[in-house]
Amino acid sequence: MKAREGDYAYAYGVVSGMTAKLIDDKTFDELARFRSVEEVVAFLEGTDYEPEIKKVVGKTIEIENLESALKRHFVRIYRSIVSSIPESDRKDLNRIISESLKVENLKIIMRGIHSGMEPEKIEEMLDIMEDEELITELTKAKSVEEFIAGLEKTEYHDVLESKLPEYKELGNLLPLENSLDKHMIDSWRGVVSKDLRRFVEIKTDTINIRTILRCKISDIPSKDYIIEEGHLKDKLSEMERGEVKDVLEILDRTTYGKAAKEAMSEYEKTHSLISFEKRLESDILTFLKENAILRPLGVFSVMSFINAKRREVKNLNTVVICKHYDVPPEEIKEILM
Amino acid sequence: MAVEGIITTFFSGNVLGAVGAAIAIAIAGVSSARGLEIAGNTAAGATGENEENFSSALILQALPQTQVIYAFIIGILIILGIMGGNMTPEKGFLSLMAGIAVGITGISAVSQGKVASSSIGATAKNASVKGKVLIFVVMPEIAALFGFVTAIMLLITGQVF
Repeated sequence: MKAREGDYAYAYGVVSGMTAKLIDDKTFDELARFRSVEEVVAFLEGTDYEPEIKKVVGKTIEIENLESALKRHFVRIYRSIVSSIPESDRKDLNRIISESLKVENLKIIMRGIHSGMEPEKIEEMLDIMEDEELITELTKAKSVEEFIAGLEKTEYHDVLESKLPEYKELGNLLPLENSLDKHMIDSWRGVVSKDLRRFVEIKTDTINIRTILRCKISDIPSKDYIIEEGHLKDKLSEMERGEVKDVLEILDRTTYGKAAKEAMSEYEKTHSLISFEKRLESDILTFLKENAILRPLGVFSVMSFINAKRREVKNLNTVVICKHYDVPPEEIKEILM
Repeated sequence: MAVEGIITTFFSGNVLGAVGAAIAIAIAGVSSARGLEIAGNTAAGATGENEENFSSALILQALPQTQVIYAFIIGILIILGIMGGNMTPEKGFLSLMAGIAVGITGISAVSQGKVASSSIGATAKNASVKGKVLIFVVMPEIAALFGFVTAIMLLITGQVF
């Protein structure tokens, strides 16, 4: 049975109460000016993070323990919110959030290994994760092949292994990253909620736009990497045929027009689309926020809060690491999301 | 003859009045309960996170209750008319209309519950908007108030009580 608007009333109350406790930007500025990790820990002990922080604080503070305490806090909050939403949407939302976090982490590790980064550096860049042990182990892989072999007992192994020859041939991560995206979108099929389906469609569009543009820049045919879904489904073949500029012009006539227009001028100047890709990602967050305001009694309020909480935890993680390495406050402020 | 008897009985003032009272309380009652449920669930969630949200949530949650109070008043007035023993078919028909007016406008309680829910959420996020959001929650009340006044006027016009 589909969830009705009123069924989200309790979850909305929970999320609203939790929103009030989120650490605001002003406080993050103050945290960046704190003198040590110990001061940050003392601050966190007076917040919602207390139960997780207390478990890891002893005579000395281990930075790794602190990081996992922050992540455990996110997992606790996440589980508590998900348990408060209507049962009919619970499984789907859980699938969407956890799958996107997993795929995001796997991509970060692959990129790190591909570019020869140290495991510790890769680990610092990772998002919040549930399967911490496996992910940490994967960061230690010496090559992308070893990384894929490390995923043997997971659903991602076959997905990635099938694209390994293409990766070797092209020397580009695009086939592997794309296969993960495709797998993610496939795993989201059959989502019952209309709102969640709208989210999946937007996410699919974002992936398709990014893939087509990356393929064009790398001079790789994009046909095999396209996901034949989303709002842009009818325009995909047209987008595949043209150049980068043509793609942006096609997008200009769609809901992605504003972002495409900005990307066009940037592309003409720098021949880079990085900020366009970032813009597409942030547009998804804006979509969630706007819909959460328009219809607070719905899944978007919950998703919007989860994103805000995720950002808070990542920022706290950044502050803790930066304090540990004595990074100046101004630099910390720049790194914060 | 039997059919005529049924029609006469059904369209008697007492039956029409009773149906009006029942419609009023049933529709408004169900709507108020739904509105209270929606607002109450948000209030419970917000209070669970922070007990300080309790007082403002309570005020906002209570507002969808008024629709059933209006319906209850109209229902009582109609029943008083029936008990007076002078409920003609004309008075019964006006009572029925009064019941429909207050009952159907009472559906506004569901919308009010949703606005109350959003307002409880807004207050939980930012306590300083407490007074302002109260205005938003009162707005759907106007429809119910109009229905109530119309119902009262119908009963006065028909000299039902």
